[in-house]
Amino acid sequence: MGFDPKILSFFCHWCCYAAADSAGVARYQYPPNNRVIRVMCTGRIDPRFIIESFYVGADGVLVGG
Amino acid sequence: MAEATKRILELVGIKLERFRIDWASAAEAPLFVKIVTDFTEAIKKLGPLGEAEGLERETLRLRLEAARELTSKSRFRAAFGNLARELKKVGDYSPEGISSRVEQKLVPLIKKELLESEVKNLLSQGPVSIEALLQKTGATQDDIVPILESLSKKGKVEKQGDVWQPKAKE
Repeated sequence: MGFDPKILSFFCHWCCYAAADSAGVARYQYPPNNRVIRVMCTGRIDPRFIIESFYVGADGVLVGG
Repeated sequence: MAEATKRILELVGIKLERFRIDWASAAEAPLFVKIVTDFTEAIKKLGPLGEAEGLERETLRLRLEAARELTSKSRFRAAFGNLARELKKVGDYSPEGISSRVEQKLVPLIKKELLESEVKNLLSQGPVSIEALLQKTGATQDDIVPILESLSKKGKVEKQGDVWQPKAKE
C-alpha cells in the first residue's frame, strides 16, 4: 500500500513514553509512522493541541497516558 | 477533554476513528506496541485526512481553521473551564454524565462559533450567495441566517440581491 500515514502522538512521560522506551529496549517491532511529542502528563493536553495537529496535516492523533 | 474534542471533530466532519486516547503503563511494552500497531492500521485503512470523510482540501482547511479559532477563543475557554469545575463539584465522572453535560453546555457554543468563523472567513474572500455558504459550511438555512443578520447589524456585511458581501469601509 502506497499510503504512509502521518500520526502524531502525545505520550505521557511516565506511562506511554516509558512503555515506548521499553518496547524499544525489548526490540518489539512497531510501525514507524508515529511522531511522538512527550508531555509530562496526559492532563496537559488540550483540545487545541488535537485540532492544531489535524490542521498542520496529521492523518491521526494518538494520545497515550 | 476527550469528549469535548470529539464533539468538535464531529462538527468539523473528521471521523472520530482518527483520534484515539488510550493507556499503557511503563511496564506494558507489548500492550503499547499493540495500541500503536492497531491505530496505524486503522489510519491506513481510512487514508489521508479528508479522504474517508469526503471533504475537499479547501473545505477541510476552512473548517479546521474555524475550529482552531474556536479553541483559542476566550468564550470557549471559559465555558470549558467552567464545565471542568462543575464536573469536579458534582463528582460525576461517568462517561454518560460527562457526555450529557458537554452536550448541554459546550455543543451549542461550539456549533455557533464554528459556523460564525466559517461564514466570516468565506465572506472575507469576497461576495458569496447563501447557497454557496450553505454548501461550504454544511449548515442549514436556519443556522446561517441569524449569523448573517447579526453581522449585518454590526455593519460588517451587506446584502446585495442574492449575494452577501463584506461592507466597504468608509
